Amino acid sequence: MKKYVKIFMNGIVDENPTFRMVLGMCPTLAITTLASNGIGMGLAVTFVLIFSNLVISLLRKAIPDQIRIPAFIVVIATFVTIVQLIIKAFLPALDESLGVFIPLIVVNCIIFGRAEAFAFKNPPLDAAVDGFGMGIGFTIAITLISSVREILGVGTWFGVQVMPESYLPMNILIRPAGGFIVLGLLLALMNKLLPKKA
Amino acid sequence: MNNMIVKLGVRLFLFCLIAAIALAITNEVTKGPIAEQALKSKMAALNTVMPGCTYEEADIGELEEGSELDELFIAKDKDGNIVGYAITASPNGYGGEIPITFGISAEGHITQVYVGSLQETAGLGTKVGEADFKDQFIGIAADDATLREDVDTISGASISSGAFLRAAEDALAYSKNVLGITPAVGDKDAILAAYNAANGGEGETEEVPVTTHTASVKGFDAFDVNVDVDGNGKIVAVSVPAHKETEGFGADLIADKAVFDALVGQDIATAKIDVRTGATLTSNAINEALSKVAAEVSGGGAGKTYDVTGFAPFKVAIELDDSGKIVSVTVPEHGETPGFGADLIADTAVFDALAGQDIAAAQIDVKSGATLTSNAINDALAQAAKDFAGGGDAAVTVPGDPYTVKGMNKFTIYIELDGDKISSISVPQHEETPGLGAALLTEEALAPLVGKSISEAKVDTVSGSTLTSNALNAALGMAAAANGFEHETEEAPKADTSVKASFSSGSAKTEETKTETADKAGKVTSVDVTGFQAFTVEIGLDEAGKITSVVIPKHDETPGFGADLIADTAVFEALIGQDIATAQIDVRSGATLTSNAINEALAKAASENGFAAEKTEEAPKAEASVSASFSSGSAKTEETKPEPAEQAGNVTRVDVTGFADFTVEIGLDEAGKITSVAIPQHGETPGFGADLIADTAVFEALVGQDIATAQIDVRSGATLTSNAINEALKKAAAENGFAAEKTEEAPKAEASVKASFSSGSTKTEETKTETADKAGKVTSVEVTGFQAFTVEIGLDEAGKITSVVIPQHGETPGFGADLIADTAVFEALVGQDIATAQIDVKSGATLTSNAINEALAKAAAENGFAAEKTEEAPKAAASVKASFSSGSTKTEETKTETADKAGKVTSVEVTGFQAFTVEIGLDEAGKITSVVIPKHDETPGFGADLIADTAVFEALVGQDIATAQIDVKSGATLTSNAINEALAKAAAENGFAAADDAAATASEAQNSVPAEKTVHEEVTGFQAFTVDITVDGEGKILRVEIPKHEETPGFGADLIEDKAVFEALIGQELANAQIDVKSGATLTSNAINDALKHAAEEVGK
Repeated sequence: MKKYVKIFMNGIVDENPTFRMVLGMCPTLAITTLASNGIGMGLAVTFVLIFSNLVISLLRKAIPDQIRIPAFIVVIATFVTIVQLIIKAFLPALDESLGVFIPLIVVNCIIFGRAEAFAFKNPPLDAAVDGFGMGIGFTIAITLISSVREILGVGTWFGVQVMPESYLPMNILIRPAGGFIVLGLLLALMNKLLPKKA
Repeated sequence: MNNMIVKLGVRLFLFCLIAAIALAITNEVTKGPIAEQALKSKMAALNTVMPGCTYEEADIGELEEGSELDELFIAKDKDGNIVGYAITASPNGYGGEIPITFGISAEGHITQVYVGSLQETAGLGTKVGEADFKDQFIGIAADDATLREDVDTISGASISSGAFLRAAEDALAYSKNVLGITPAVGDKDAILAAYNAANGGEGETEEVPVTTHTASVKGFDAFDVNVDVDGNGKIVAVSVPAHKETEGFGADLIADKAVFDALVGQDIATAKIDVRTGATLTSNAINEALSKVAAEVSGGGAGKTYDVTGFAPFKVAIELDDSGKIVSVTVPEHGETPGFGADLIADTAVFDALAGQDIAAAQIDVKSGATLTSNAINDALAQAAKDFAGGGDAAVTVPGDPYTVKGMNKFTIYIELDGDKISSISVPQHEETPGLGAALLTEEALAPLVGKSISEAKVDTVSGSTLTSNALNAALGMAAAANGFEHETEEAPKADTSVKASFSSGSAKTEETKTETADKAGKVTSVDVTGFQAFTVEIGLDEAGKITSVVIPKHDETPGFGADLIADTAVFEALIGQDIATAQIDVRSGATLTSNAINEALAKAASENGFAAEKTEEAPKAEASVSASFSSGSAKTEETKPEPAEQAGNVTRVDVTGFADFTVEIGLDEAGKITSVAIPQHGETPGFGADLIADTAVFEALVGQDIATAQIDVRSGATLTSNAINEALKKAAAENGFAAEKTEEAPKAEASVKASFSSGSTKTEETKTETADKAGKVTSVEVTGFQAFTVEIGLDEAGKITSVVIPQHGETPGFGADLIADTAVFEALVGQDIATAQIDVKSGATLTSNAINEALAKAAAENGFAAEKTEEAPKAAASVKASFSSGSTKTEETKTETADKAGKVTSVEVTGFQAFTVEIGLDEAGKITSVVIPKHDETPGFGADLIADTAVFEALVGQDIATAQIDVKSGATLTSNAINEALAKAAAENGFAAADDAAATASEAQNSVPAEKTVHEEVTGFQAFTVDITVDGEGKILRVEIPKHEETPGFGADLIEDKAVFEALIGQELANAQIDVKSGATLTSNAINDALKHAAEEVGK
């Protein structure tokens, strides 16, 4: 159990995909304009991570090393597509807010990276937990970034007005430039706060 | 290896197969729901835009290239009639597509727009999906041409909203052109209601009947207010469909949903909105609408409208309940004056106060400044009361005999007598002034008379209602007489102090009191006078000549000035009791015209009635009415026009010209002392002459002075005006025989050599000093500095300068103009001997300086004060300064003309880079006294700099002309040589030429003597052009010119323009002369070198 906790926490702190491994920057910058986006995207990624890790781990013996990359892509893409179809069919609200980004998960380096770095070499359960941890870590990270950008850049948090009416939102924060700025600052902050990588 | 590949390939194939199967399954499973979802959102969209219909997808047909329209749906009602259309579009916004559904009603308006999921920038682009933006579309005409007028884009979201609007235009164009729907504006409320109904919006399950009332009101502008009231009298909704109220004020109020939401649920009978500051008209209009609707709802409708006239005619709607109590008083529309009557009407408190009052007694307080309006409203109330009382033709039922008298206006008073006692007295109708005369004629006021003996019955004259009082009394008298009773009439009613002149400022209609003393012993003299405008003063006198009343019924004096004076009752009250012969009012500052007119009237009344004051030695105090007050910039001024009523005084009018023409009216007494100075009208410059005229102190100082000597100080900047005034004073003195005697003591030459003018302006207020003393003489000399101008030099008999004035000039601002403006310069001249007076030549203003000096010299000569020819030649003006602004061809070159005719100036025309003239001044000994180049076009940076180098020329002064030469300056060889050539020629011309051998050597140095030869070489560089090469007799290049060419700008052309290139050739031996080939201008360079070569050959022949 401890092992799994360790693996899980690894994905959140030590090897946080966003703040440590700096993976998955594309969606990180693109969608983190609203906290709700952050949560939504994060959870979608988590879902995909868990299952792709699981599947790849299960198939690790079956996938020849030489074609592992196309294999990964197939697996991941399939999962993402399935996720997308399900969301479109049964969760239209989520589809509205995240619709565009879901296909992007395919090329999200986190998933690919974890598949390569962990799932391929570890037993399924470990891989699944790792996927879970990574996903949550990612979710936390991008939710944090989104929150900062939303609160300061729009004045709301999860759609709820939190800044006083007189607050003039820093519009730049919800633009791409703002994304970089916030990300950079948070990275610096995390470097300071989080324990150094082993 | 092959195995490997196959193995791998198979593996991969398997994976993909499995993946594909998984996907296919998922797809199948989700296909249905996804389609459903899509349909659901589509339906949501359709239901929003075209609620309650069935929808049929139609073929949108062929769309234009780039059209972002997607689908077309036909909306039909349950009977199958087409209600409208829904068009979907998905324009590209900032973050992706914006799914929009437009609903277009068959009636030609947009119903609503529906926006699907957005990927736009949060808070900006996403605004296109919010109500604020979408609601703009509700009900607007489905016309792409007018779309932009009805709908605003979102600031900060141009891309999103722009895309949106473009799609909208597409859709509207489609509906207009393809669907053939004619655009028309729709009813927003109806649309929303339909939406709510179809979508179970408000969800009212109770069938409470709601009636919609529409009230037309006028706030800032006319608009309708729709009020929905339910059966319980509660407001359901209030809306203003369309209006043109002012943005930022009334419009904002109307846009403020909170305001209207607050009304919902209120009882219509009492519902009111708070009057919003800045939107009073609109607020009141809305409240008015609420009242109107309330009236409608209550079905009372006992509201009658009365036509009254305040400032302008308007209607007052008064609603009464059965017991005669006021329910409401409203003024639907009016044209009363904003700020006065209009404000009163807008004051809801006033009308609210009336509610509940008994109509019989209800009156509003007369509001100061809104008397007319107040009275009109009271009038309406009175009429309503009358109507309620069942009035109508009151005259029929009024007992008594009618007597028609005239108070303020005519009215009929009915007096019934019972024996000699008054049994009834009433005035059913009249138009006496409400609040004043009218108050006397009310039942209450007349009540005391009832029961009195007609012989004794009379009313006290009420202050402010004298006319009415008197009329009343007259009527009583008439009644008495008619019935054979006596009525006391000898006792003259007390002269009333009704000199109140009250009027609302700004209004032309004034309510003036008309005091007519009914007492025939008294006499009223009407005098027409003119203050600011004409008006009549009615002065009542008793036999002793004491003033009983002074009244000005009507006038158009200026509000704030004369009008206020007339309004000042204290003034007029003070007159009462005074002896008409001497009665005068104090002249009020700023209302002098009016004051004087009143005094004039008083005086005339006195004389007309034989009470004229005797001519006494004591001249009326010259009015301190020299105040010339006027609003700056305004042509209409209330200028003082003091006319002492006493004939002993004499006013001389003198027309003078300062900056412009004006007249000065100078009042003198017999002793020749100034009693008044006034300037009724003038067009002097505000800030200068106008201020002087406005300066009352100036004029007050004149009062009492001897006209013979009275003058005002010339004010700096207002010299023309000052002088004109002084001129007027002098003329007045002369005209009246008080002219100053010619004394030896010449008036101090005015320090009026100040030439003041605003830089850059051609119109200047220059000093025009004309010394009145005829012993002094002014000589006008026309000279030319930079431009021609005249210098007026005043001299006394001793030849001393008394004044130097330049009235007008066009010298360069910053240079000559500044010199002329420099008063110190001119002041320094005053007192100098004209024979020798000169000013220092000012650097940069040499032409001007010299011109001035020239003028001085000429003046000296003309007046016989010319300096004698002395050996001491005037110092050659250090005016060899050639100053010019680089690049400018117009330069202020020194033009030194030594006035001393012993010196001689030789002008030599030479050509350096261009032609110019050198003026060389020599003395008899052949020494150079001056070298001047007035004008030239030498190259700035080269020859021009040389000419500008004063050191060069100063070095020449004093040299022997025979040998004088300047060093050839590198880069300015042509110019240097030309100057030297000039020097040589001057020497020759004046017979100072260097001795032959010297001349020969000298001429060697001068390249201008020997035979020049110019050859024209036709060459072709990029194009054909000709090179003119001039060599001297020794084969040295003097000049290389290319007059015309069509070489490429930037390349060959630049080379040819490069003067340095050609100047470098000068002095070179033509035989070897070549220029460097310039990169990019090879053809041109080579062509030039060709020319040089050929020229060399030609010359060598």
